[in-house]
Amino acid sequence: MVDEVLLEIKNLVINFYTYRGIVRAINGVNLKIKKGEFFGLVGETGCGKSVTASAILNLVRNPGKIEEGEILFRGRDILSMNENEIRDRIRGKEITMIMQHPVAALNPVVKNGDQIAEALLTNKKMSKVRAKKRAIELLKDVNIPEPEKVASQYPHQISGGMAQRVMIAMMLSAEPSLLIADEPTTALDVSIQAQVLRLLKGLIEKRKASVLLITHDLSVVAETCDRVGVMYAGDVVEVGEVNQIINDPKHPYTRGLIRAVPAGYKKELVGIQGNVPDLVDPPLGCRFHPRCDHARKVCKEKKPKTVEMERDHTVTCFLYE
Amino acid sequence: MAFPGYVAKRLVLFIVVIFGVVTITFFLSHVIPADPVGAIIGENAPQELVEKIEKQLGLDLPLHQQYLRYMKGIVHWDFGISLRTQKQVSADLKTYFPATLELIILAMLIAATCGIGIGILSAVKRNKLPDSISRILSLIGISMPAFWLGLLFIMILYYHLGIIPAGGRLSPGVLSPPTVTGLYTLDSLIAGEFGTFWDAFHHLLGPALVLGWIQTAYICRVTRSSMLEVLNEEYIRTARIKGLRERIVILRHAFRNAAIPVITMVGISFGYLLEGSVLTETVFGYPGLGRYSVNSFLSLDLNAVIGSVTLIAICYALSNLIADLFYGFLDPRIRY
Amino acid sequence: MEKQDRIESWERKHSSEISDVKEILHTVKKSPLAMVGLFIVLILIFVAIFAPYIAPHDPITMNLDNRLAPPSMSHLLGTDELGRDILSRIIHGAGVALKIMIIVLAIDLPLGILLGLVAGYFGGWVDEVIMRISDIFMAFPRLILAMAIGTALGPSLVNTMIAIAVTMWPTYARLARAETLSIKERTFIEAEKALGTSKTRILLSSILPLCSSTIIVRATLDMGNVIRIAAGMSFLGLGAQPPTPEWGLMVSTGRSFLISQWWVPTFPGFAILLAVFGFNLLGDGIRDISDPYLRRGG
Repeated sequence: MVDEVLLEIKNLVINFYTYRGIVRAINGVNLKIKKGEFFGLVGETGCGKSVTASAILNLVRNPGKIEEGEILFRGRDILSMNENEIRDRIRGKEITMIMQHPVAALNPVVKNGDQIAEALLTNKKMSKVRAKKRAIELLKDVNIPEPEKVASQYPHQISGGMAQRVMIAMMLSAEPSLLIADEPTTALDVSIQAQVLRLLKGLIEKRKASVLLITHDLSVVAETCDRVGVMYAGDVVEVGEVNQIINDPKHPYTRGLIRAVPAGYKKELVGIQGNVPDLVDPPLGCRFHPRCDHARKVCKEKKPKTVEMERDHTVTCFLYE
Repeated sequence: MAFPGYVAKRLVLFIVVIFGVVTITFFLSHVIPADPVGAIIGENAPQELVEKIEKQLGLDLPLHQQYLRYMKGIVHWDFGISLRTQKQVSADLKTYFPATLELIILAMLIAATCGIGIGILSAVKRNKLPDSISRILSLIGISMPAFWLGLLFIMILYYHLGIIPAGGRLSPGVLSPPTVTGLYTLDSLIAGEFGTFWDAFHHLLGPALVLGWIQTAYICRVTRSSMLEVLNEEYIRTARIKGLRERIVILRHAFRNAAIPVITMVGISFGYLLEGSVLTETVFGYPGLGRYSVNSFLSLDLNAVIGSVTLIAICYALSNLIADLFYGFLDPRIRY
Repeated sequence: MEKQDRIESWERKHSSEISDVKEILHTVKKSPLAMVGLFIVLILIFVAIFAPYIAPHDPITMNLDNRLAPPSMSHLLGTDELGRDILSRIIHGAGVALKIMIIVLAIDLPLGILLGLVAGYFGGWVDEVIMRISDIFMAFPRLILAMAIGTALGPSLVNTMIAIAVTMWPTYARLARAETLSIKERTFIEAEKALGTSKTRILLSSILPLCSSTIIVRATLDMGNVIRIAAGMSFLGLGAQPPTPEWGLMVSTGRSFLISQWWVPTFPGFAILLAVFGFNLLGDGIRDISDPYLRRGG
């Protein structure tokens, strides 16, 4: 595996200015994604995974605001680039994203094939005729049967699983270096989930691109990812290789997550006590401390620093500082 | 197979509605306290004459036979003679309807272009100054009583600024162009009479601006809210992720979808404009179908009432039908 | 002790309606637009009720010596063609407008809710018949139909109100039907059915209250349009008759004085605009806040 860092998020802070107050959604997130790796970002709903994804493409809009931080892509800070440059150079070309509800993510009044062709025409130089042909080739690549038919249909005429493949075809059409997949299989039938993930993995490996897979499902992560980051309430609490995280979780939250996955021999469901905090008024210090069995006085006062435990395995917890 | 079914259902509905409209008009006309015989021969005519006229008008027949006579008349587009104008009602309608049509078309052009344009701008620049101004103005627009706005326009544009003329379709002394469509502006252009064109256009301005302003407000609001709803959809995000320019995102992705309810609104607007023409033509003294129908009501001119109401209701139902069909055609989710 | 018990049990029985009203008030508070609209509407109601005490002059008494006087200290908005104080007439006009609203609501709400409820709940041919009839009524432009009915009944304010009510019931019936259809699917209705509650009871005690609150709010907000159509009818001569101080009628009779004594038709028309604007503002404000799409930052 190549060790070169493709994307680095440094100290990202994002707030949402809402009617209820200021939601401190992202609290200083640090993350590295390497070239050619399948990186999983895990966490419960509302922990900030999707917001982070939007930030990478600088698509955080009102009422959200990126307050500070850098997002370095191949060494250049995306957040300091102007909009035109991001739009022309990064979006659709270098970094793309697929999302949770594929049918909703497609324009209902445009044919499927034309939507893929649009991505091609925007991001690569080719003629309209060639783009249409290429769109059908891409549909074949994602294992869609009768690609000509699907290309001439509209999004409401195809199933969720097929729509997600269309999205994948669209988002891989310009051969990006990084594909962000935000809960791509959560809304699909379980049987389709595995197919789509396998397809994704195969395509990415062929192109030697990176994937940032966002999910709340640990089993998906275990199946597909090389490295994993665990997020809680706007913080990244642990990052490591997938077997490190699964077999030797360090952070109390990660341990809770692993424990909570129902396994065949377990007799009871073990949850994590307490509730996800309201980010308008988050807990001081370490945001997990109200639910943590190991909470100490310092956890309530200061934010823990990130410590590297072993190669590529980092934790953000006072237990290890 | 969905679309033909959709069309068929709408057409059947249309026919049922027209039938119902005509029937209701019949019953209404029998409730209106008019004295059709007395209107023809005066109130003190001798009894035999009264009975003779009654027989002629078919008033001595039982109700259901009168109804059949009435329906037969309608199918042949024969409403009898207007007491006020002493002409065939159908001839009156032929004279006045094109005038209203011309007015409505002009008002529609104004309303559609301004309304859609301002609506899109408002949605894109949400909550900023242009949006706030347009929202307040369009709220005022739909709250405005049309007859009052008309009077204001007359006072300001006619009396103080002299921009619009006194009334009617053409100035006294100007001859109407040779009839092709009945629309003076179009006909004068076809005949090459540019002076007449300007005069006709001039006379249309006042009422068209009043109707146009109010309708712009409606269309602007629908466009704005439709755009806002669409701009929050997932596929807009997809379009941005693909790296498309903002203008393409707004026009090709957002508006293409927002347009569906907007175009439906535009279709329905024809009906609203027809309704608005009633008050506006009266205020401006514009000789169209609206003013004709008001005068018919006020003078209890039964035949004219039936004729104008039937025509208006048919146009209204037709514009709703066309709007519905358009909606079905534009939305692939219905078409396929 | 007994009174307290009665109050508490009433509160408990109507707790859902109370929370509905509370929610609406809370919604209104959040939107400045709605607040201004509410303010205007409340002023309208206040002026309407206390007109005899607020108006500086009598609205009906003629004073032919002082005809068509421009606005002055004693007649803030001037006098009309019969020497009557325009401001006082406008103030009393608010009362007329209120009467119109109340009567139209009194006719349309029960009628619309009943028909919509029946159509939505029983479905089948009952639904079809009611819907087709409402389609036919809706096939006439509102003003035309009101004019037809007004002419048939004879020009008077009461007949105009009835005519307007007749043109508007289809809208409310459809709304009530849509509400009933969605409430019908809710699980608690299934639960009631499973318990064996009779159809009529379900209809009356469960569906009716839920459905009504929405309709009442929507209908009230539609009152602006009612005022405008009524004014239009009076303007044409089919509605209120002289000497009633109805705003539309005032514009109509003042029309001939538009050029030289502009205040005579202008101020009453402005009153119409203000009243309708207030209702629309209120309605918009409430809709803006409660509609989740429009609420999201954008």
